[in-house]
Amino acid sequence: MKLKIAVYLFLMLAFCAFSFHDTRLFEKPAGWPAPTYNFTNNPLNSEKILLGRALFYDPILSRDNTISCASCHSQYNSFTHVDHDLSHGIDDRIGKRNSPVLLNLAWQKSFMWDGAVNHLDVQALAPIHNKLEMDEDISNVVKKLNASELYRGLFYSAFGDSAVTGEKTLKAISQFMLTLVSANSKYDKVMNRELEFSSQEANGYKLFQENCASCHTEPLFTNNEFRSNSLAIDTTLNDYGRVVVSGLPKDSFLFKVPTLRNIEFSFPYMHDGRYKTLSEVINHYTGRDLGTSNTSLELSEQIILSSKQKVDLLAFLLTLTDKEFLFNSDFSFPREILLSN
Amino acid sequence: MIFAIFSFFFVVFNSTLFAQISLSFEPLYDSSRIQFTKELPADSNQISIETLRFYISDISLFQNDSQVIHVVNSYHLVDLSAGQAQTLDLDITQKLDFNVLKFNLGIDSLTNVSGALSGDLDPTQGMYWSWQSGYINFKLEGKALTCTTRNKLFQYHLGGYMHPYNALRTIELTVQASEPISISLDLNKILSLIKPSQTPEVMSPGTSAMMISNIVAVSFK
Ligand code: HEC
Ligand code: HEC
Repeated sequence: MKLKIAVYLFLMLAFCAFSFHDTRLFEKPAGWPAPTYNFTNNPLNSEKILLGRALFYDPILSRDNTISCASCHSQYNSFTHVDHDLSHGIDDRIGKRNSPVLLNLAWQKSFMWDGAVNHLDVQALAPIHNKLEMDEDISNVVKKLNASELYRGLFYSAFGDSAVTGEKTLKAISQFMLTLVSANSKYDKVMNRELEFSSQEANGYKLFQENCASCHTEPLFTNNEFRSNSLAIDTTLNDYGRVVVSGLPKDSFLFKVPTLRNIEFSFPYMHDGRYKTLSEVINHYTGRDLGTSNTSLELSEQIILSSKQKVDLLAFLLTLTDKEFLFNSDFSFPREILLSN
Repeated sequence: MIFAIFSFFFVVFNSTLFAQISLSFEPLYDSSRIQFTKELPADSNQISIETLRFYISDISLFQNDSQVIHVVNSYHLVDLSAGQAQTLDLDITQKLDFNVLKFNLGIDSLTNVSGALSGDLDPTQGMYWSWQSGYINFKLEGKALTCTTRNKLFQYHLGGYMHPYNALRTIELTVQASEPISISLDLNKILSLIKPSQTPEVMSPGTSAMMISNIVAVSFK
C-alpha cells in the first residue's frame, strides 16, 4: 500500500515537472511524439510569446531597420518566403538558400537545410548576423531594445525585469516560434476520424506511404534526418549540404528532410527553390538519374507512377494544407503592439 | 530539519573562516615584440594583439591524484585583450589543500547544444558563432608585419564540439596554493608555433582548429 502511494506521488511529481505550461499555449496533438524542445528551460507564457511575436515582426532586428524575420517568413506562405527561389535580405541582397516553412519547430532536432543550427534558441542569431540577411549583431540588437521604452515594458511584463539580454531576446523569439503548430489539416481530421479522404486522396495516401513516408514520416512528415533525394548539384551554388557542417564526406549532398505540411503554399521547392510546382517535384522523384548525388537508400530504386497516380499523390499532398494555421490571428503581425507607438 | 540547521551553521561557520579561492590569468609576452594595441607599431618584426579572450570551464582542484573539489557550473569568460592579468573568484569557501589545478579550455558539448544561456555564456559576449551553432572557445586577433593578409590581420576563432572536431582541451597544471592561484598564458610560444604569416586565419571547426587548440593548451603554465 505504502509503495503504491509512493509510486503515485512520484508519478504526480514527475507529471508536474513535465507539464511545462498552460496547454492553451502549446498542446501536443493526440498521437504525436513528445516534442524535442526542452520547455523546462524556457516555460511558455503568453507575455513572452507576445514579446517574441513582436520581435519576429519588428525590423529593429536588422542593421538599418528594414528587414524583419517575417520579411522572409510570411504567415500566408506558412512562414516561408514568397515567390523567390533564394531568399532576399537587406539591400535586396540574395542569399544562398530557399527559406523553409516554420511550423512544428518544437519537434525539430536541428535547423537549417544542413542542420548548422543545433537549437531553436540560437536560430535567430544566424539571420541577425548574416551579411546578406539582417547584417546586425545581437549585442547591438540588445542595445537598441534596451533603449526602447516599448521593449523595456514588454520585457518587464514577460520576465519581470526590464533589462534586455541576449538570452531573453532569443528565448522570447523561440517562444513565439514554438506556438506555430500545424495539426489541423484535412489529413489530421481524417486521422482523427472527423473527415474522410476522397478516393483519389486515399489512393494518393497509399502511394505516399509506399514511396515517400520512409523519409517524410507521419505525423510530422519528416524523419528529422539528413538525406539525399538525388538532386543534381547546381554549379552556380555548389551547395553540398550537411558535409559543410559535419566535415564528413559521407554527408555530401545530404539535406534535412523537410516537412511537407502546408506544402501547397511553400513553393518554390527544395533547398535552392529549383522547382516551382509540386508536379515538377513528383516528376523529379519519378525521373531521377539513379546512383547520383549520393542518393539515400530509401530512394535507391526508381519510383514508377502512372499519370493518374501522380495526380492522386498530388491530391494527397494538398490534404496537408492547414488553413486555420495560415490564417490564425495569434500568429499574425501584432498591430496592437507595433503600431501603437 | 536538523540537517537544515546543521548545514546552515556549517555554511556560516565555514564562510567566516576561510578565504575565497581565485584564479589569476596573466598573458606572458616579450614586450619588445608583442604589444596589446589596435594598430601595428611601425618597426619590423612586430605583432599587435587586439583581442585575446577564452572560456575556461569545469574547474577542479586535486591534491596529488585525488580530487579535492569540483566547482559545478564553472563557466568563465577570461578577457586578456588589455594585456593585463584578470582574476576570477571561484565559488569555493572552504579551506583546501591542493597542488594541481584542472580546467577545460572551452565549452563542453552538452552546453553547446543547450540553446540560449545567460551571463558569461550569453551570445552577446561575442563568443558564439552565428552561422553554425557553437561557442568560440578561444579568440585571438591581431596584426603581424609578416602577414600578407589584408591589413596584416591574423584571426583565430577556435571551437567545435562535434566529433571528430571537438576542440575542447583539458589543462592540468601544478600550482601553488597561493591566493590567487596564478596561471600564465605564453603568447610568445603560441605565436611562434602557429606562425601567423603561414596560417593567418582559422575561423571554423576542423583540423586546423584542433591543431591550434593543442598549441594553446600546452601554452598555459
Ligand atoms: C533574408 C531572409 C531571412 C530572414 C530575414 C530570416 N530568415 Fe529564417 N531562414 C531563411 C533561410 C534562407 C533559411 C534556410 C537557411 C539555410 O538552411 O541555410 C532560414 C531558416 C530559418 C529557420 C530554420 C527552419 C528549419 O526548418 O530548419 C528558422 C527557425 C528561421 N529561419 C527563423 C528565423 C527568425 C527567427 C528570423 C528573424 C530573427 C529569420 N528567420 C530571419 C531566410 C531568412
Ligand atoms: C530519401 C528520403 C526521401 C524520400 C523517400 C522522399 N523524399 Fe522528398 N525530400 C527529401 C529531402 C532530403 C528533401 C530536401 C532536398 C533538398 O532540398 O536538397 C526533400 C524535399 C521534398 C519536397 C520539397 C519540400 C520543400 O519544402 O521544399 C517535396 C515536395 C518532397 N520532397 C516530396 C516527396 C514525395 C512526394 C516523395 C515520394 C514520392 C518524397 N518526397 C520522397 C527526402 C526524401
